[in-house]
Amino acid sequence: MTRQAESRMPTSRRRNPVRQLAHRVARYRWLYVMLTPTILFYVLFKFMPLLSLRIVFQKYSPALEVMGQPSPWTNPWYQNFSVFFKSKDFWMLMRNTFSLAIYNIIFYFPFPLLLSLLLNELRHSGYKRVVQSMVYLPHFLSWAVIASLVLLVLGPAPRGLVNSVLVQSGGAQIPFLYGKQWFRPIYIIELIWKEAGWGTIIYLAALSGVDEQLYEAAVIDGAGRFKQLIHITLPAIQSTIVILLILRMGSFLDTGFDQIYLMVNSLNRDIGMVFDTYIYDVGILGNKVPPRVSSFSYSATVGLFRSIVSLALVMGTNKMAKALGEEGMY
Amino acid sequence: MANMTARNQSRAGRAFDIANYFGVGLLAAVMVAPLLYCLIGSFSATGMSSGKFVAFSLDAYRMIFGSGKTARAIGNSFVITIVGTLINIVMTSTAAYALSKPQMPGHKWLTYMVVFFMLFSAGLIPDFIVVANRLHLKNTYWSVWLPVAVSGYNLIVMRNFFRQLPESIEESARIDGCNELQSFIRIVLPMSKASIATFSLFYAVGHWNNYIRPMIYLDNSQAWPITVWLRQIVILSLGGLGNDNMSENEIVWAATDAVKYSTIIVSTVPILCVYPFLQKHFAKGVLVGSVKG
Repeated sequence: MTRQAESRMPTSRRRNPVRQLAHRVARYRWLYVMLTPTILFYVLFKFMPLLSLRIVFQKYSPALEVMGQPSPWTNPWYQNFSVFFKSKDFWMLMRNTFSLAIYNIIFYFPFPLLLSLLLNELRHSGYKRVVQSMVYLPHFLSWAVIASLVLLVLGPAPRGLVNSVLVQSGGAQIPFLYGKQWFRPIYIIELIWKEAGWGTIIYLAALSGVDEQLYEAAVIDGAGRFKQLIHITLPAIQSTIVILLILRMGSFLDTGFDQIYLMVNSLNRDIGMVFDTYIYDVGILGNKVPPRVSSFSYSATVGLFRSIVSLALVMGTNKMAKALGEEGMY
Repeated sequence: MANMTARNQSRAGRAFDIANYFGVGLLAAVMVAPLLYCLIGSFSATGMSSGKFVAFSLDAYRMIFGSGKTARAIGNSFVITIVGTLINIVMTSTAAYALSKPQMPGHKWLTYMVVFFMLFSAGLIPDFIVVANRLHLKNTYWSVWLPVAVSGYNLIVMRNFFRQLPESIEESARIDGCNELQSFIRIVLPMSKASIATFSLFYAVGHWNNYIRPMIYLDNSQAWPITVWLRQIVILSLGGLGNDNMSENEIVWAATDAVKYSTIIVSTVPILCVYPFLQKHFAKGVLVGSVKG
C-alpha cells in the first residue's frame, strides 16, 4: 500500500458521515434483523394507535371507515372534549378515580413496606420462607379468581361465608359487594391481599444489601431495635421507596381495569366507575353515550385525557424526586 | 451470626419478636385461607352453603369436565398461554440482545421509544380500532397475542441482564466467524437459561390470568379462556351486571354451587403447578433490575 492510499482512506471515511453510518449499520445488520419483529410490533401496536388518536377530533363512524371514507371532523374541533368536560360523568370519574388512587397511596402503598420490615425481622429462615411463599401466592391468581373468592367469602348469604355466620348468629347481612360505602374499603383489601406480599420482594432485595456491620456498630453504640430501624434500615431503602413512589405515581390512574370491572355492578356504579371501566363501558359496549357524539371518538377523548394526566403525574413526580436530591427514574 | 444474638438482647426486643412471628404468620394464613376454603368447598356435595361442608363428593369435578365447556376453556387458556409466551420470549430476547449493544447505531433512539411507550399509551379505544378495524384481528387469538407481544419493562430488564454478561466469550465467537445472531443463539441463550425461564413464567402467568383482552376481542364463547368463563359462571350467576351470552341451561347448570368452587380451583391449579418453579427465581436479582435507561 502506498503512502498516499494509506493517508487517503481514513480521511475519506471521516469526511463522509453518511458512508460511515452506512458502514456501521452494515456492520451490525444482524442486530437489526433481530430487532425487526419488535420494531414492527411498536409500529403496529404503539404508533398506529397514536395516529388513530385523530378520532378525538372526529365524529368517528365505523360504517364510513369500512367504505374507505374518512369520518367527519367535529365542529368546533374540541367538541368531544367540551362534551366530556361539561358532563357530570367527568366529575364522577375524577372523584372516583382520584379517590381510589389516593386510597391506594395512603392505605396500600405503605403496606408492602411495613410487611417487608416485619419479614426482615424474622430470623428463622425456614419460617420466613414458608411465610413468604404464602403471602406471594395471591399475586399469581387472576382477578377473576380473586373476585370469585371474595364473592364466596363476602357475598350475600347463604353463599357468602361471613354473611352466613352473621345470619346464623341472628345479625343482619352486610352488603359488602353492593353497598356504596363498602366499595373503596373492599377495593383496598383486595389489593392488599393480592399484591402486598409480592410488593415486599423489591424491599427485601434492598434490605438484604444492607451491611450487617452497620447493625453491629449500632448495637455497640447502644442503639435498640427501633433506633436501628430509623437510622440504618430506613435510610438504606429510602431510594427504593422513592423509585417505587414515582412508579406508583406514573400508574396513579391505573386503578386496575380487571379488578374494578369485576367489582362494579348496577348498585355501586356511581362510586365504582373509573376512567378505564368507563371507556370500556361507553366505547366498546356503547352504554350511556352522550348525545351528538360518536361513542368511539368520545371515549377515545376520555382515554387521551387520562393518558395525558398520567404522563404529567409521572414527569412531575420525577422532577420532584430530583429536586429532593433523589436519583429519579430517567 | 454473632450480631444476631447481639441484636436480640432486650426484653422488649424479644416480646416484639414473638408478636412478630405470630402476627406475620397469622397474616400469611389469612392470605391463603380463602383458596383453601374454596378447595374444601369444591369437594362438598352442594358447595359450602351457609359455610357448612355437606358430604364428600367429586361430582362437581365430574360435572365440569363432563360438560365440555370448562374443559374447552381450560384448553383455550393453554393455547393462549403457550403460543403467547413463545411470541413474547422470541421477540423480547432478540430485541433485548440487540439493544444491549450500545455500539449499534440507533440504539439510543430505540431505547427512548421503548421508555416513552412505557409512560404513555394511546388508550383502549385507539388500540381497539387498530386491532379490530385496521388489522382485522378481532375474533382471532392474534388479538390476544400480538398487542402484548413485548412488554417494555421486561425488554429493558432483559437488556440490562444481557449487558452484564461477559463480553469476552462473544468476542471469541465472532473471531471464529459467528455473526451476532449465531452468537446469540449458540452462546448467549444457553448462558441465560435461568433468566429466560423466569421471564417465560412471568409472561405465561400474565397470559393465563388475562381477562380484559379476551373479553374485548373474543365474541365467541367457544374461544373463551378460563378467566372469562369463570366470571360468567361464578360472578354473573351470583348477581352482577347481568348474564350476557348465557343460555337458560347454562344458568341452571352454573347455579349448582359446587361447580363454582371446583371451577375456581381448576383455573388455579396450573398456576399452583408452576409456582415452585417461579419461587426459585424470586429472590434473584433478575426481576429487580433497575429501569434506568
